[in-house]
Amino acid sequence: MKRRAITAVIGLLVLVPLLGLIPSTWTWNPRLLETLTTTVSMIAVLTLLNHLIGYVTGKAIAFRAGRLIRYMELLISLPLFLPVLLLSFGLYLTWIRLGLADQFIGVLLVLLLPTLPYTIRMYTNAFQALGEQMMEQMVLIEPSRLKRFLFLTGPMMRSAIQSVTLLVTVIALSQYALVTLIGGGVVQMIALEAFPLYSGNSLVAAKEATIWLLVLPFLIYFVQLILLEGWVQVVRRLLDGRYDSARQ
Amino acid sequence: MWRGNAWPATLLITGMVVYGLFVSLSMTTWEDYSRLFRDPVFLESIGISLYVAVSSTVLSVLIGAWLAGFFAKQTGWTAQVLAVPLFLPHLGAAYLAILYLSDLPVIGPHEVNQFSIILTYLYKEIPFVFFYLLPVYRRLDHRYEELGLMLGLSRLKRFWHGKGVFLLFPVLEAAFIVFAFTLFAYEVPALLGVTYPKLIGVYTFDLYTQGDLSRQPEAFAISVLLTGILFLLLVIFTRTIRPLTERISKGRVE
Repeated sequence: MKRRAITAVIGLLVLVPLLGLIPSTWTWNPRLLETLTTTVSMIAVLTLLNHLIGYVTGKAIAFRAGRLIRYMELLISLPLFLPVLLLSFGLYLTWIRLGLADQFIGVLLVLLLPTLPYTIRMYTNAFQALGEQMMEQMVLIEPSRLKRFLFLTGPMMRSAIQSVTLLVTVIALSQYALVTLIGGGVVQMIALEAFPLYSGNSLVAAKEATIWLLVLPFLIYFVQLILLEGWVQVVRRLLDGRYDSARQ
Repeated sequence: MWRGNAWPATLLITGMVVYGLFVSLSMTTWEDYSRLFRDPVFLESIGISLYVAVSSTVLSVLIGAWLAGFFAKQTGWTAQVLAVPLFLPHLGAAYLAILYLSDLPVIGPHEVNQFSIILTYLYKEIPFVFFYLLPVYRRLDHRYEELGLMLGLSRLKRFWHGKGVFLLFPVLEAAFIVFAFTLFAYEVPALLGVTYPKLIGVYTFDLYTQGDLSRQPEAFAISVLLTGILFLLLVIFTRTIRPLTERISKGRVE
């Protein structure tokens, strides 16, 4: 009974505020639409990089022992505990010197700072949950590295992959100050258009921006869900009985 | 088995953090720092930021940890519902605050008590803490507490040896992450905060971008100073808490 009451209160507090986002009239704000290409491609590249680096690093942190890797783990988590925005003041000057300021790639690199530590943590947890014995078992079953990832490790880490994409998307979408500073207004992400709308007078325009901010993560999440589901289905079909020695 | 490689990530992240700090440091002189400590606007901004960050952190960690403990065994719908705020970026959460709290007298945006900022953070950070701690609560082994019961330990000691040791580090870690984030965030306080005193993230960012160039060294000085203080806190935190909990929980099979 108490459990149900708490769930009801949480549901009320979390979901009811979102009702205010249901649109009454819908317009396509052209300025917001223009930023979508940059926003989506930035998120796509950023997510891909996060997965790549996160996978490799998370595995190392989970399965390597020793003092060095513990220090590396601490160094990698630094951006979680330090003010990234304040650090980017110095980085901006460096980016100007390197020609990375006001560039897509410059913003991409800086956006790795607030996202990558989370990604690595999630991959570390996923690898720890799988466990070393399971990983070694898989080496015995399937010697090919690529096949091992496609058939075993990948599908088994599905929930981690999903959470990483979601978190990276949401964090990247919310960065106004960082993108303004490093992108110099040239790299137009959706936050750059949304932010001024909130301090302006038009609640309708602000609402539309917010809907985009909420819909984009959901959309990306569901596209990914379908892709991962397809992956698992294909693997199931391909593996159908092939390794089942009892059936021979 | 290939055991992964942590070098690229370490070099990339450490490189950017250290170099950013180094450039900031090279842009400042001693005079800038001593001026900071005499600047009442800066000190007031620090004060109000600490108030917002500490209250947001304490509340979200207490509520998030309690929920994680309560729903550790079976989450049911609660986990699904609590996942919803994770889909909403902080900017969107700030819009919700503008939408609902604007007409309310005490907790509305642009009030000196900053309640709207704290509420926005709670909406986003309670779910974060919940999902951060849920796996930790799930891994807890109830046999430790039963052992304590058998040995006739007091309630407090039972809690400490059965749960506390395993929870202390992750809880403080979650608190540290939320604290650092809420202390320096720009977007939410820029939209919901008062024009004076500004929260430190807004104050510094505005100094750096809007003010005339003569005030930029001040922004760099704040960057160096606060990064340094937080780094020091982090070192103290890992040096003291980690060995304490590791010593006690050693020998436990994961």
